[in-house]
Amino acid sequence: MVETANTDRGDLQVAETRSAAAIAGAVWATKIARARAMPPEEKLLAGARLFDRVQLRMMEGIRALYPTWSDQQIVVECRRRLAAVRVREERGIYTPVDPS
Amino acid sequence: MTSDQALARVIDQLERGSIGYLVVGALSSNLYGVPRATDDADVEVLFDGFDVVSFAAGLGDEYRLDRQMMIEGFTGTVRYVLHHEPSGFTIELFRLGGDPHHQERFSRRRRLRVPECRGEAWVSTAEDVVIQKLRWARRKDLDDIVNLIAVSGDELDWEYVNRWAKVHGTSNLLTDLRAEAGR
Repeated sequence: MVETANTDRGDLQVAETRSAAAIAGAVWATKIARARAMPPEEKLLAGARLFDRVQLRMMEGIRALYPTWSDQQIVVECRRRLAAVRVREERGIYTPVDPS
Repeated sequence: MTSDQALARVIDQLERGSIGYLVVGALSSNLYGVPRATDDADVEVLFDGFDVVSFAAGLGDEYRLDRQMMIEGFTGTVRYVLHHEPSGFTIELFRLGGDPHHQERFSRRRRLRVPECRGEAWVSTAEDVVIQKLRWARRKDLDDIVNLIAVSGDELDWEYVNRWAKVHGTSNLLTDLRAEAGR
């Protein structure tokens, strides 16, 4: 009986994994099809436009965490977080140059 | 001024000054792949007679040039960073150096119509985006390559990509990423 239950659970997990993989595959295919259909002149600056939207979402999140903060404090915190990500990504790649 | 407008202004100023440049990095991979958010634009510039301090000053008060030059370890390329204060967007200006691939990449650059820049802009080819991102090979670079191959893989000059991948020792990685992209 226990063995049967375990097998059922295993089958369910396999089915769920297959289903999740199918959904992920379909989402990816849609993403690729959309990107193919987008005009190149729109795509070049899209990264900068998306960044503005991401920043707004980040600021909304910070405001929700710290409702008493001023707009300026929220901007400073948002930029601090972005700078921290940048430092991590650039670690070991860039080194300062001595102008002399 | 928004981030895309801040970038368009820099490109416009490079065009007006007849300065040799090309857009590389995430913006160029967005062009051939799946657009994603990026907080910076990478622009390679011919520094023959180019004064980066005067250039930055000419952009106006919203821009600030970071006086600390940085050098990139893979190719020895010197980088200057321009901050657009209101938007938080940065424009990184790379001095075109002697790296053989960068030299060829610059010679293969192409024109793209960009209405926001009041005309056209110089951009990297799709092949050169793949070659450069294979060298960097950070997690986000690998994702960009897979997306780019999935979107534009049929149009790539694979002979050219394979040649540079062999020179840079990235052929195995390229094979894996092509398989992941189904190409």
